[in-house]
Amino acid sequence: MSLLQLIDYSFQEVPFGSPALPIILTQGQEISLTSIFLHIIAADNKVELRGTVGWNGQFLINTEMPKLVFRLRRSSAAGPIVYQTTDSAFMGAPPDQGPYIVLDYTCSFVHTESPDPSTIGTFQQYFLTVQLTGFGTANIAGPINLTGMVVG
Amino acid sequence: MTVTINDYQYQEVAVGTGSLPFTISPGTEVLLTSIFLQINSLNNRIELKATIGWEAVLNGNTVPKLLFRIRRGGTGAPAPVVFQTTDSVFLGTPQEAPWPALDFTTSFEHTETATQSLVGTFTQYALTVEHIGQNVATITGPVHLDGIVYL
Repeated sequence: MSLLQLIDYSFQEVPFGSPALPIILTQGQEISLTSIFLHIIAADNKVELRGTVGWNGQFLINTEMPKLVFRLRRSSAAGPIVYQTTDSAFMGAPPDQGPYIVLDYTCSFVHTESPDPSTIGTFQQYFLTVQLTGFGTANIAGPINLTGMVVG
Repeated sequence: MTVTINDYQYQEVAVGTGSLPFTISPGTEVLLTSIFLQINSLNNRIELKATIGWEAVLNGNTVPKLLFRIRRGGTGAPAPVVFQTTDSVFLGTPQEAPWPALDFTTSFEHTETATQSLVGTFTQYALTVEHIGQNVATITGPVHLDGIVYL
């Protein structure tokens, strides 16, 4: 039995308070948050990607129940979806509910894949995207972290 | 050229052990745990992962909103905050109470690159929590913090 090696490790982090933040989301529109490159060298490599995103919303007048669809896409911001998960929150509904203060959430997730044959021998780019659905509004408050590693 | 793991440290406080559980009110930053990581190259990349279990119960106007920080080089101010994120929940309005306590798990990851002043040191990374909402929340645990140094 041979030992596994860490073939590549890469990350991008947009810290809380960075000038690029917050990002005000538009209903239905998918936007790229960050991306990383990972070196994939063999078919039996395992590619692990981990994401952490801080987001928020606020109940003001209308029902506030935002849903955020987080996706990992390969090779371009519109490339194939390799992972998708959704986070959501109920923040209140009219007429008299709600704390009315900004509510912040931290969403984190892990994806692992065996590399697509076309990616072997390449530096493959992975994108973290978000799309707002549900009711109401939401912002990407940060931080945004995308970390990837290749084991083989 | 592969990547090597230069250091790996963790602290985990299980539910019901140490000072867990404890209640937390707005206005105070509380140390949860800390680790020391050996940094030996400007090319080091440092990864910190945390998981915290907490709960809150609707009792009057209660909005748990927990600000988690990772500080470097100390366990409180003025040690710099290298990462911060907040988790919260809408439990309902006061007239909707009482409900049983609701439980939550918050987890996150921070990564950074070594800087010159850190090279050659065992650097402390501390996980803290501050309640910035309304009324009280309870840190039930588990509290987990792990750190890895890659070269």
